[in-house]
Amino acid sequence: MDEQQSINSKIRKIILIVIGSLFVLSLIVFLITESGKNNKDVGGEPDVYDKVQGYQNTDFDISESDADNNITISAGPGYRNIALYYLKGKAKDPTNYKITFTDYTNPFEAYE
Amino acid sequence: MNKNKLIALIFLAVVIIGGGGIWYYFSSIHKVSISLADGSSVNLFQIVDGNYKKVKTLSKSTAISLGKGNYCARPVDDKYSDKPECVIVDNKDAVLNISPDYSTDYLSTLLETEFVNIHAIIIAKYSPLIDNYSLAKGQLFKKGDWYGTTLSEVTGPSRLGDNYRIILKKINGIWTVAAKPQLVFSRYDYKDIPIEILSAVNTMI
Repeated sequence: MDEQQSINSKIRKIILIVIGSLFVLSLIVFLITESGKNNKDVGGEPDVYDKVQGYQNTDFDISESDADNNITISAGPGYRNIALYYLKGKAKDPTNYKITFTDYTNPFEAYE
Repeated sequence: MNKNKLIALIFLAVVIIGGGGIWYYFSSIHKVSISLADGSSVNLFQIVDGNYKKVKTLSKSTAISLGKGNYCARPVDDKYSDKPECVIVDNKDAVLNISPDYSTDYLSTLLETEFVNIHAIIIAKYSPLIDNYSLAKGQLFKKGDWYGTTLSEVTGPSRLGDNYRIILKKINGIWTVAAKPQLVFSRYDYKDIPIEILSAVNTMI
């Protein structure tokens, strides 16, 4: 009888060890997968682009860009586009800035 | 160590290793729902060590089981851009929506039948001012439903003119001005127009 109880006790220990081991293993896998999720870069596109340095020559004047990506360009007809080409030449995509031209009215504004 | 203890230890090791293996296998397989635009077929690749390893060809929307990894789909037909659409299969089910744009060559072919109609619409909308401008042939984008071109001011030899840009979108088969002529388009002013189109039109000469 004592021998039978001893065997039952050992079986219970083994079952407990197996269950405990599986629990620990599950916990380790869970923690690894969760830490993988948390380490991911949230990403997102920055809304601040390369700062444009002010530039001036005889044909046009480009202001330095401000914190909101505003730029002012002073130039006559034809030279406005040349000022934009200057920005592109400096690897600045004009699409990323809010560009205002001084002393200028868009002739197509009248058509709506 | 007696025989019973040895058997118990081996049993324990088998259970732990086997259980871990089964756990790892099922935790690494996930369902990926792939939505494919009508009429297009794609080759699905797994990226392994920087190399494309083909998984299968898909010709309709489906859901497949994939192991953890990076997967990309590329259109089979030359009509579509070969830009890949990718998904990372990690710890959960994923979705991959594939709606490829047309290829540059196919867009150029489409433009031949579209640009006369588009130019007629621009001329009608901005007449008579448009008489002072020269319209370039322009370019179609995406699925041929976006168009951009330049309007160059025609001036005498003593004066430079301004170059304007315009973007149109085809809605229900009708071309409509999406961005009226401007010297330059800012992403802040045209949030409904894809940035890559704004940027491409801004770089047109």
